[in-house]
This record gives sequence, structure tokens and C-alpha cells, in this order.
Amino acid sequence: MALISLEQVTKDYPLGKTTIHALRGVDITIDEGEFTAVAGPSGCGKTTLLNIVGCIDHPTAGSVHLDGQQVEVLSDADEAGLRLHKIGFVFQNFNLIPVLTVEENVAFPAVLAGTPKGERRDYVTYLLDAVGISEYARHRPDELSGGQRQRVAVARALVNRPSLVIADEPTANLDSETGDRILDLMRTLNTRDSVTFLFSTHNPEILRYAGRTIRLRDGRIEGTS
Amino acid sequence: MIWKIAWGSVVRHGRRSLLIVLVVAISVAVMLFVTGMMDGMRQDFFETMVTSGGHIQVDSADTADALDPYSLELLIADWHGIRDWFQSQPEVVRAEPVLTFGAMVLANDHNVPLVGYGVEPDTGFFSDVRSGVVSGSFLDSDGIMLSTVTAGMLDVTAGDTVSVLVEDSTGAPYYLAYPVSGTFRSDGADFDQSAFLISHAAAQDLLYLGDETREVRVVLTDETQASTVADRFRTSDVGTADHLRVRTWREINGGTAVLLEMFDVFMYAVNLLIVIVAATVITNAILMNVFEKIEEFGMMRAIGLTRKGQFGLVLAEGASYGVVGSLLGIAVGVPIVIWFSTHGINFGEMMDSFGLGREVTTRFDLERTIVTAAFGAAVAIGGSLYAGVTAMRLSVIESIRGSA
Repeated sequence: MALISLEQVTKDYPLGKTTIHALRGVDITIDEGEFTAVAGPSGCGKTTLLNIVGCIDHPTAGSVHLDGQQVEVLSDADEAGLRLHKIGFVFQNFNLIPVLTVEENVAFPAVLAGTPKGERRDYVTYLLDAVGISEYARHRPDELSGGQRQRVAVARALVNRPSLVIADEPTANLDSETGDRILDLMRTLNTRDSVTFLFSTHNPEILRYAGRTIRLRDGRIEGTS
Repeated sequence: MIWKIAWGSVVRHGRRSLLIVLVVAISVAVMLFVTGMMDGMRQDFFETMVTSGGHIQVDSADTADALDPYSLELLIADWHGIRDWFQSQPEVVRAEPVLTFGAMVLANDHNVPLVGYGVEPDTGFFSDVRSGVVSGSFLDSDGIMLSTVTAGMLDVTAGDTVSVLVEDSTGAPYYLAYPVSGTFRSDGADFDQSAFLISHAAAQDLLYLGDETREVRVVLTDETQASTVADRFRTSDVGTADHLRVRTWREINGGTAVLLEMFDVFMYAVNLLIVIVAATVITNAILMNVFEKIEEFGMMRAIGLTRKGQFGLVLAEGASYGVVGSLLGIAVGVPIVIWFSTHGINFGEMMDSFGLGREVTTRFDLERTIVTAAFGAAVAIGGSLYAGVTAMRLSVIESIRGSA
């Protein structure tokens, strides 16, 4: 069953008197449980595509469906609800909240979702254990390495049991060994817990983890493998 | 967790947070001091009024047009009935006759022109004289109370004898000698330089009067009842006499009452200025916090924080500043207010010339302190409103890019 469906999605950015065409008529369908990579050189539209799928940006034209719901017609609050409950994000720069501990960072989306405290605590403990970072639960982000921070970000992305996890260049700021570990972790969560992952990369080495790879060039799909 | 994030932001922006907290604290402390001082002035005014002039005065109707306010032709003879009527009213604390007259006080080849106050020895008025006794004791039925200023000019002290020379009710000069019961220093320099006290009966003897007095002064339980009681008196059997004039404290002290109202306006203006300055500083400082954390806000919005939630987060930050600043303001302001409530601030002749005494004491009021502290917190929250709205309006994608 299709979890994500993009039909003729375009995205233009006005830049002075010119217009940047970030996406030009993109059609994509991603099924539940897929582990999909979006690949391509810098500036090809990977991040724009992920932002639109993740409901943090809107297409100039075309339509986006997530879990059967048309995204463009949603109100701002409904979009926030959709992001909260159905999508998990992993950012290139980790983007953890510096004043919260690791377990609080992971729990934050669950707090926003109003998950009962006991249930929240148990699931956070499970996730920290799952990503192998439970011994740092009481640490703050600035006390962790880059790889550890990205593990925390992955756990945070999963805490509301989303249908989809979007990871924008999750290994870009990590060394190759740590990057491999993060991808192993994401792949494990995909196969064990059937979490759908959509991640971008410009590193060909990473693509071996992907079940499917969508190649972008100049805002168009160049090919799928 | 929202509060922890807000508090974390306060801690993270150390110097800027210190600036905001200091602005709130100084604002609260200054507002506490200014309002405490104004309250103290108002309290001093009413206390002085209660202790000297009373809330209502009844005297001769001809006094208003008289060239000599101490003329012995401006007396009232039926004062017992007036006093008894007032004392029968539930709002009245006390009513007493006061007989003022012009006199020359002489001793040791010195003489000083003064105003004599004939009062009952157990008078409830002139309590600042009673509490300001420097030597001897308060008035006895045969003695005279002199201020330290007058006693110094006459070179006398408690136990010495002075002569009081008057023009009596027959128009002839007459004098009697009185032992000095005591010397005093009251709150008013003008009063100290111009007045002495003897008993009401002694004044009547000295002036060769029958059972007459200058005026009846009345103290009420509440100054707001003055008009009501005065109107009731005017329509009573006793008060309808044409030769009587009835005045409330507002009519007697019109100038000072207006001055106090002007001080109130001044106080509100000062407080408003403080609020505007504080709110401007806080708004700008929190706005800087918001723009520094724009990517963090973008991330929070991306993972599900609503615009309202983001607005609340900025307001929580403002509230944190407000609470800490207000507590610090109380910690600084309250001891200052309490200290000046016992030590007073000496404004010298300037304030005395307004009839408010030389010294102004502040007044500590717990309820006002709580309200001011809450107001300080509200100013901080108010100052963060604009920053909150600005943060709320940012789009997720602009925030994440840090390009707002």
C-alpha cells in the first residue's frame, strides 16, 4: 500500500528576477516498509523533495498524499499534527535541544503528542536501548559525539511511532565508520519494526543500504533502482 | 519540559538574561519605592490631618471673611451641643473644642509672637506634639507647651515660667504666667515656629471669655464619610444655625489634597515610563534570543510543535525572566521601603512648604508588593509578546534554514 504519493510536484524559488526550479514534475510512490534513498549531486533537489514529503514545505504545483491524506489542503495546525504523529525527522546537523538531556530530547515529541508519562518513559527507555545509547540518557547533547547525537535523533524520530522517518543526509557530518553504524541502525529498525525510511545522500557508498534508490538531477527523477 | 526549555534559554544567554532580569528587578524595586513613598505621603497627610485639623471643622461663619482670623468676635458659644451631636454619630471617633488666639510669649527679656492653641489636656489631636516631647511632659491643666525652637528663643526649658500676653475679650491687654510643662518637636517646622499649647480652660481664662471656643474639630473612622456626616450636621437641629460654618477636610486642605492627586498622576507617569522602558528592553533582548535560536525553533516546529506552542515557549521564557526579576526586585525594593518607613526621607523645607511635613516615610504594603511583583512579571511577559508573535509567524522551512 502506498504510504507516500507525489504527482507532478514542482517547486520554484524566486531569486531576484530569476526563478530557481528545484523540482520539475516529480512523480514518486513509496510503499509502507520501504527503505528508500534519494540520491544525487548537491543542488539536485533532494532536500526540497524531503521537505515537501515531510510537510515542512509546500509544492508550487502538483499534489502530495501521505498515508492517503492530501497534504496541500491541510491547515497549519493539521500539518503540525501530521508531522507530530506520522513523520519522524532526522536532520543532518542532529538538531537536538541543547538544554534537555538525551532522554528528554527523545521524549520531547511524545510530550507534544500528550503521551501518558508512564507509557512515554517506557518507550523512551526502549528506544534508547534500541539505538544503543541508554547509558547516556542523563547526558546533555554537548557531552556526546556526533554519532551518539545522531542516534539520539533517530530515537527521537521514532518516539511517536511514525509511519515515515525522513532523514536528510543523516551521515553527512559523521565519519564513515559512524555513518555506517547509523545506517545499520536505521536498516535494522526498518526490517525489525517495519518503519518506512526515506533518506537523502550524495554519498554513493551509502546507497548500498537502500532497498530502492531514487536518483535526482536538476529537479527531475533521473532513474530509480 | 516547555518550562525547562524556557529556563534553559534564560541560563544559556547569561549576560543578556542578566540584563533583562536587572531591568525587571530595577523596575519592580523603583515602582515599589515610588508607590511606597506616595502611599507614605498620603498616610502622613491623613495622619497629620487626623492629629491636627480633623476631618470636619465647625467654626463661626464670619471667619471666612474676617481680616483677623484670631478675632475674639469669631467664637461659637454653643459648642457643647455641637460636640455632643457629633459624638452621638456612629462615624465619629471624637469631637473636641480648639480655641486659637494670637499672643505674645515673654521670658528672660525675650518675646515671641505666637498662635496659642487652647486644647483639652487629654486631647486626641496634636499627637505629633505628644509624641515629640523633648523635655518635661505633655500639657497639664496649668502649664504651657512650647516648641524647642520657641523655648530656645525665649531661653527657657521645662519647669521655667513664661508670661503670655493677649488682648482679652474686653479689648484690654492682659497676661498670665504659666510654667512650661514641656518642650516638643513636631513634624511641621511652621507649626514649631508659630504655635504653643495651653489647656482650653486656661485659654478661656486668659482671654476672659465665657464658655466659648473657636471651633469644634471632628475625627471620623474614615475620611470618605466626611461629606456625609457634614451634610447630616447641616440639616440637624444644631447645625442649621446661620452663624456656623462646616468644612470637611477636603475644603480645609484643598490645596494639599490637589497636590496629592498631582503626586498620584506623577507616580502613574513614572511607573508608565518604567514599564515602557522595561518592556522595550525586554522585547529587544528576547527578540535577539529568538533569532539566535531560529534553527532550533524550526526543528521543534518540524517535529510537531505548533505555532501556538512556539508562542507559548517564548512567553514562558519571558515569564521566567519576569518571575526571577520580580523576586530580585522584591528582595531589593522591600528592604529599602521598610528601611525608609522607619528612618524617613528628609526633604527639608521644600516638602514642609507643601504642608506635608519635613520628612516623608515610605509605607510597606504587602498587597501592593505582590501586585507590583505580578506587574513586573506581566511586563516581562508583555515584553515577550512581540518576540513570541515574531517567532510564531516564521515558517518552518525558513526557520530550519535560519534565513528568516
